[in-house]
Amino acid sequence: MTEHTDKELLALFRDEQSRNYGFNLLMRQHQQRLYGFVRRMVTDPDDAKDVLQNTFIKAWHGLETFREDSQLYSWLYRIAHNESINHLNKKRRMPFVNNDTVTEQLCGTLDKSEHFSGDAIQQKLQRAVMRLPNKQRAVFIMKYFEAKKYTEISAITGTTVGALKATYHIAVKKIEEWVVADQTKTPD
Amino acid sequence: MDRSNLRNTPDFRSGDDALEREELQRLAPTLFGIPAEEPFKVPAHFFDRLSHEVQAMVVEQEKKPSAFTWLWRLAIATPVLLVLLGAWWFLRDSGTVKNVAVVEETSPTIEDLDDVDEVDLFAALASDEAVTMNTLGVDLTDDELLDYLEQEHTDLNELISEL
Repeated sequence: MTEHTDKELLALFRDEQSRNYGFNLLMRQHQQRLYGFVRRMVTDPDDAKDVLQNTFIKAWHGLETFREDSQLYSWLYRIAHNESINHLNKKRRMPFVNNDTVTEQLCGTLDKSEHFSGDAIQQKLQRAVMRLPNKQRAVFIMKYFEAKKYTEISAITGTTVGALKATYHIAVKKIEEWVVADQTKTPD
Repeated sequence: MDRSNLRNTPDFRSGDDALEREELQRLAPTLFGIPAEEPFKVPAHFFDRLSHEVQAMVVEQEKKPSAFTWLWRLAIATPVLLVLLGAWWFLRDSGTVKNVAVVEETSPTIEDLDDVDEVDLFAALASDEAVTMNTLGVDLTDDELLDYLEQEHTDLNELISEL
């Protein structure tokens, strides 16, 4: 697929005649990468679809006034990040639901072979990731799975690089501890 | 099911600089040893449909304002309307009382003419406007007016000549 520059996509979107075409190109260019992040955050495919739809609907409404002082991809990623966090917070705020219940719900997807193809160690890793608090999980996913630079993560989350390094360090230690404990508990 | 790769970078986990990799290996050797795979499956044709679904939702949203917007408007408008209605009702009642009072006050008799200043009367009669005694706050018939002029010994010819 041909990659389009931000300027090209914005010019197409801002012209009434080519708006739908421009938005379609924009989605096709960014949807897979955004989906990867959102899916790791919420795990359930239906939830991931809802979050991604909301992300692009918000993008549609915000593109008219989008200031080009940041990259389109970073801006979209920021919306997807916020939408994912909001989605998870909403789940946790539901009556009679505590953090453990939500974590179990999120891990439920990992047991379904139609949604998850990883082996036992991948499942343990994902279960450990699910146990992280939402913001820590977002930072871990961006750094560990997507190899983003701290400066890029900072632009997305609005957190300082120093705070991000500390967050990632804590998250890595927790994951290591949980994966090791899980392996000891249920040896393969 | 489609097994699309969701990895955001082709050089998965290799974007980290050497220092970060060393630190990860030292800090979390088990985690470091887990192979880099993408275990989540993407529903079939998911990405082919998504853009059409999103655009359909945007069009739908633009067609009709959400119920929330209407409820919100109603929630603001109702108390304002009630306050305005209350104010109107209150002022309407006060106005009725005032009108009654005015009606009682304006029943002029010939004695009321004592209160009328002659200068005002002449000025009013001399004005270009169609003048009636109502202008001065009294309501007299022609006979009453003639009676008054007679009582005051006013010379009609002199009055007419002044006009």
